[in-house]
Amino acid sequence: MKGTYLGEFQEIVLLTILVLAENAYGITIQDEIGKRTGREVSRGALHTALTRLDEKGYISSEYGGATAERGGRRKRYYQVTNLGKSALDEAKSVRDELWSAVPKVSLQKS
Amino acid sequence: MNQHSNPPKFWTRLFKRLCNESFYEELQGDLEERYFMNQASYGHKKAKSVYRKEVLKMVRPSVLKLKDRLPTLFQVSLFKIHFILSLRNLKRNKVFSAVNILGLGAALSVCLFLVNMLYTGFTQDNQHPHRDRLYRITTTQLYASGGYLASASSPRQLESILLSSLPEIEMSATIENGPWIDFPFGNEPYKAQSIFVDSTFFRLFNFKTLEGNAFGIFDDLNSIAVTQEIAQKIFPNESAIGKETSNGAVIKAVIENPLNISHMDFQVIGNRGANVLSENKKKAENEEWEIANGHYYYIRLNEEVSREQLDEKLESLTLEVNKKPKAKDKTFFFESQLVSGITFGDFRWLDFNYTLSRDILYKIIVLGVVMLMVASFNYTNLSIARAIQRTKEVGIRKINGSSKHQIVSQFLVETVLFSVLAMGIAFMSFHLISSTFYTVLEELSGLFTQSLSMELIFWFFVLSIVIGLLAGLLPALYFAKISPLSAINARVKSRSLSVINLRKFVTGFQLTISMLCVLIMTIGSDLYKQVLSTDMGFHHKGLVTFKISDVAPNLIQNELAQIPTIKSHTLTGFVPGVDHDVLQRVVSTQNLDTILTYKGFASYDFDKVYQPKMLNTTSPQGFDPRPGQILVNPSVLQQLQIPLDSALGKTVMFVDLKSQSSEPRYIAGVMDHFVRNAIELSPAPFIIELIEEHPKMNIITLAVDSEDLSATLAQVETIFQNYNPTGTFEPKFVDDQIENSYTEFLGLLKAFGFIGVSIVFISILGQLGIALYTVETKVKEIGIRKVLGAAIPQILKLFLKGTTLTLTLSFLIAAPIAFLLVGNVILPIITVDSYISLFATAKGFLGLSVLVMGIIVAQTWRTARLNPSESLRSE
Repeated sequence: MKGTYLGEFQEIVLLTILVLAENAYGITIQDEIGKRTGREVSRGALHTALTRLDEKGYISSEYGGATAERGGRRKRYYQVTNLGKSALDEAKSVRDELWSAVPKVSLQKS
Repeated sequence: MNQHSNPPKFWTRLFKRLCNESFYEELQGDLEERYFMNQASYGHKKAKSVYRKEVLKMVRPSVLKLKDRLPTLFQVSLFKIHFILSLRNLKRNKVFSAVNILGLGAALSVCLFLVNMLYTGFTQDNQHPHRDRLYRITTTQLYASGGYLASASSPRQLESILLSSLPEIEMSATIENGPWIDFPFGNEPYKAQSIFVDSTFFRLFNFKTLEGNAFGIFDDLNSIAVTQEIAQKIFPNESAIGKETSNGAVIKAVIENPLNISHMDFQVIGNRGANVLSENKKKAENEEWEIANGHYYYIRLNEEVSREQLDEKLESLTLEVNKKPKAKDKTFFFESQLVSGITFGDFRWLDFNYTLSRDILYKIIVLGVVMLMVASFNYTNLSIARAIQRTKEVGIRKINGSSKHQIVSQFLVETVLFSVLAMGIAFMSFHLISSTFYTVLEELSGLFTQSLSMELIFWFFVLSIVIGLLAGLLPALYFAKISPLSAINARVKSRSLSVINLRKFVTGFQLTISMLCVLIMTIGSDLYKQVLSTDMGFHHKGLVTFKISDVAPNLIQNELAQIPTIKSHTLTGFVPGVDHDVLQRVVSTQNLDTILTYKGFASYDFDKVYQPKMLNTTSPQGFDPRPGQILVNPSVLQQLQIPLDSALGKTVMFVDLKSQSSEPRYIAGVMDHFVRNAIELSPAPFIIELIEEHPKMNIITLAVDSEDLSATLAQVETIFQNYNPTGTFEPKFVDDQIENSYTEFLGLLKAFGFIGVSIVFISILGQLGIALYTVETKVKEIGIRKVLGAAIPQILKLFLKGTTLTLTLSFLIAAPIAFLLVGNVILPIITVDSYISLFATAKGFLGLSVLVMGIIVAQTWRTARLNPSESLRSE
């Protein structure tokens, strides 16, 4: 189906959400991605990716707790849906197949 | 250490305004949490910097308030959509669009010409240093009879007085009209116009020296400077420096052409010291205060002096001069004229040839405005028609959620696109036509530069966009307000602004404008014919003139008398209706009134050839060859206060301008309405001196039996070559010369004709466009009628009936307007008796009607022949 393609960054976001389990919201996802991939991601870029994933139905979200540091504003927690998990599986299997199909010789640096 | 501060307020507010409400809470919360985290770790400066960057990076589609923000932030992509749609529409209705664009393009190209002329005119003489202090001193001579002559040239005696009594003058230059300078050029020498100046000329005026040294002409009395025009014409492909004129004057410099950049026109500049006057002339000049001798005074005012102070000084100078004892009690009035304001300024007699006065400016502006208005109406009409066609499309768009703003923007983009394309056409046609325009409108060539400056092009580009916006605004606003349902149904409503009525109004208005233009054109060209065929007061059809030189005229005349096909011939010094020979001072013997008249020399056979209409003659067979006979026109009698009845035989004294001696002359006849010069506002006093021979008489006029004209001319040519082998035989028709002498008027008529034709062309295009559109919208109606059994002629008749009604109505509206316009604008310019011809009016009406009906018939025919089942099926 068109529009179900999982981009590289979106894949990373999904995985990060899974890694963070219960504590996946904007700040933590941003920090985790920065820590694990070395890429500094702006909150805005992250928001776009999260919106796309939400449109595709790969994640769901709900409001969480508010704190004083946030000026009393609530956080939005994200979870990966089953659909999202299947997409991840598919993406992974495509990668794995490709990797295994590569002859060992080609991977050696010349 | 780590101060506690809040996130930057401005950026927070900015973000609040930008962000979509549904996720503002979580995003703002995250931003603040991040801020405080950073503040704790890195300090508030870094925290603020990160905050700002994050807000900036929030400017993206997924974050922003989509619904209201779209038009302003996405102007670019919406414009692109509209642009693509406009292109598509253009391609779909190729003919209609072409008609529309061509019409506007024609108008814009004419405007381009006019603006070019205006621009050239206004920037003339702007290149001189300190042009705000550069003036010309002019003289107005007041006559006892109450008349006056405002002249650009001033009396010679003024120069010394100016210099001595006006210390306000920083620098001055006197320009004297010089004689024709002959250059060796083929068979006959080329005669160049000259001016004689002193060295301040080149300091006062900025004329670029292209070759040589301009100041070098003041080294001796034998050096001159020539303009680039002369250098290229006489000495092409080589340097003109060092070359000589026919009289041995040496060229020391080549100057840029004054054409287009200055009010002055000259081809040769000479040293003033060399403009030697004969003793007699000097004596005469020192006694007289003569303004007509071609002295022009230009000054640069001192910095601290204001113009008012100069004018005051000139006033007192006027009083002083008028107290002096001068011959013949002349009264003068001296004024200053800003040099950069000479072009398009007040008209002055005896000015340089290419000076153009303010009334020409007004004419040009009026023409341009009229042109532009007609074309804009046309364009707006057509764009409304086009828009009406798409009423349904607009309705559907609105239902789909298009905002008013978008609908308006769609129309505006289309009309601007069209007008920019029209601008492109205008530029192209400007380049194509400009060379022919230049030669056709020689009379106005002082104003026309063939290249366009960048500034001009830019402003015209802006103008085309403005026209597009204005033309598209009306339909756009109309459609933006329209309710979508009524747009789709296109039901006839009782409101006056319903779609059907708008259509009718558009068609009718277009037709009225076309009718108006065509009527003006036909009436105007009829007027032109009237002017050309006006009664000149003498016979001129079929007469041929040719010039002779270096031979005694009577030798040739004797031979001519032997050619049987030459009915009669005469020797004159002028061509009647075209020019005159000299000025003559005449004194009445009664009361010593002196007047200046035009004079022409003619031999006694004059009346046989030209048969001038006389008020009373001595003998009907011709003039008694008594010496000293003159013919006068009523204006002479009037100015000398000689009553008409007692004029015959009266004596007047001719005063020689040089020697001051006077001789008697006898009035042999009074000419009735002899037109000395084709277009003349008030008939000037004119005298024909009948004399057998005079050095100035070198034109022979022949009245020939018309059947044998070419054979006769060949015989005459042989005779001519016999006596004058080195000269060229150039026979010309008197009629042609008269026609050519309508110089300024002709130029204006030609310009008007050119513009008129363009206007008519645009109107016809508009008609075509409307016709196309009308028929297109009636395809279904025609199909239905055919199905119901109507034959093609019946359908045609039905359509024509409506058209005839519209045509008559438009004629009734347009005709009075046309009469008014012609009566108030054109007729006053024409000095001969003329009238608005009803025949021409009818011709215009019929011509346009036939054309319009023809277009409609052609279009309807095509549609009527379509298979009705197909035309009804398609949408």
